[in-house]
Amino acid sequence: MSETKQVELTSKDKVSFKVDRDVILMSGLVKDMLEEGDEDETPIIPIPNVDSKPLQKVIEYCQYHHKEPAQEIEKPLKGKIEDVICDWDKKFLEIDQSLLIELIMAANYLNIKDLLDLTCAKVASMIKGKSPEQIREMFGIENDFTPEEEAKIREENKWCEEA
Amino acid sequence: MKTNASKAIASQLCHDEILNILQFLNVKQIVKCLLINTNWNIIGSSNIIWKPLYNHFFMNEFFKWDQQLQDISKLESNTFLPELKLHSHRKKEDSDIKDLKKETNNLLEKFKDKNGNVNYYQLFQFDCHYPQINESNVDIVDQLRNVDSISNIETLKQLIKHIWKDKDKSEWYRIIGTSEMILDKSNKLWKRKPILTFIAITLLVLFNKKRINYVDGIIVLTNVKNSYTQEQICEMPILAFCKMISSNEENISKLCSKHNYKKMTLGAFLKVSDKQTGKISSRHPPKPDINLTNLKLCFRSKNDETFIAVQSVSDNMNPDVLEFAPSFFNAGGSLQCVQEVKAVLVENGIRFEIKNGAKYC
Repeated sequence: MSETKQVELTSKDKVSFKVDRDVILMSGLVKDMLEEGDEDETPIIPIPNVDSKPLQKVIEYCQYHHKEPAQEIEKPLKGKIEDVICDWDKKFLEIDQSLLIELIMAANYLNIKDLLDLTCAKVASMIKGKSPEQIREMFGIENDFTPEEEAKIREENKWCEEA
Repeated sequence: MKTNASKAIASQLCHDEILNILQFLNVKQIVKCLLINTNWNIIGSSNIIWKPLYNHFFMNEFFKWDQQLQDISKLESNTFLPELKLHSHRKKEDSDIKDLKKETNNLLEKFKDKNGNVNYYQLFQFDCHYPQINESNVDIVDQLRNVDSISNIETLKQLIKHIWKDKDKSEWYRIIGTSEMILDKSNKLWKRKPILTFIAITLLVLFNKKRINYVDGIIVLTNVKNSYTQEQICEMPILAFCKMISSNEENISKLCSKHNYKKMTLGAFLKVSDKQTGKISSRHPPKPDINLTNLKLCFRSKNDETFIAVQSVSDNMNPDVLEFAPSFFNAGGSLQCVQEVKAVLVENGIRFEIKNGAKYC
């Protein structure tokens, strides 16, 4: 009778995923919700902020790291991210940029610290060595500084450029 | 192919997420991110980012910074200012210390918000940034900035002489004068730091490539884990490094003992005489804070009339130490230097002879 208890997660685009309760307890948000809620047979938990694609990746991550706890990534990142993460994580991160950003937001929303660190470290490694212009271009971020503001910040941080 | 719409999703990252990304970056990269947009700028200059960085850089185990900037009472006790009190103009200098305290306090207020909390980004910036330079001294400052370009003793001596002759008061005042001359007066904390010590110590450590490396304007402190791997402790702009080590006499002692070098000899070769008179150009030269006889323990002459730094026996075992300041001491350490050193020694009542050309005892 010791069948594993399951939880049903519903994504923003109304796709349902059945996951082992123990696995998804890696999410601080889900854990809190399960503690608050009634002991349903298979509780349905809506995840209104996360689309099915990133949610599926989150579940994939939890299923693996539930058994193989992730190693903490040192801050700041020293060297390449590939040198400090396991092979499984390397493969896991072979995704396009927009899914990576969605994963960061999903991990933050679902409160899964290790996944948040992994994805943020990946973005940090992409930022490394890039100029502010290249970073904006890479992530499609709009420059909202006035030329005067930008010049002022550049002047303030000259010490770092010169160094 | 990625569209702008799919890329623009990064703009939706919230504060926590951006913060988390920034925490994986080093100082240089964080500073670059401050220019991405307003959002990244606000988050990237917050205390959550900069307080740990400040502690990591300036309060690391390698050098204790003693929290001087936060604790003004320690400013005097741990700097060279006590030496100042030994000099003849005690009363005047005591009042100077008071003034400095006041000025420093005022300056520190700039780093506090209305609730009295320190802004660590500004504090870090202040400690790391190159001081504002008077335009008339750009040449000197260029040399100071490119410390590794000072590869021969003549350049260094020239630099020091230039600095030295600026003021005609006590030795201390000449040094202070130097700082005033070179550094903008807004940098009050720099005002009384003996810049010659900066140079001397910087050179000392720069040329001893054991755990302290100078790469492209940045000092990298490393911790040797074993004979194969080195763990990088931190990196910082060179002037921040000089400022850090010279602000605390204990640090200098520690450095000197680490490198098997007598602290008292550090300033010896920096006491350059006046070229015209061959004497130190002070009417009442202060008692030297160094034992000049130690000078000969540091150098030996070579047949080609140049100096070479003397290695202690134990250091000979370490190939790194064999490189100790080779270009610095050898390239320009000519007989002229010996004459100048002699003048200093004679001035201080120490017997000094030049035998067989470059040799001395």
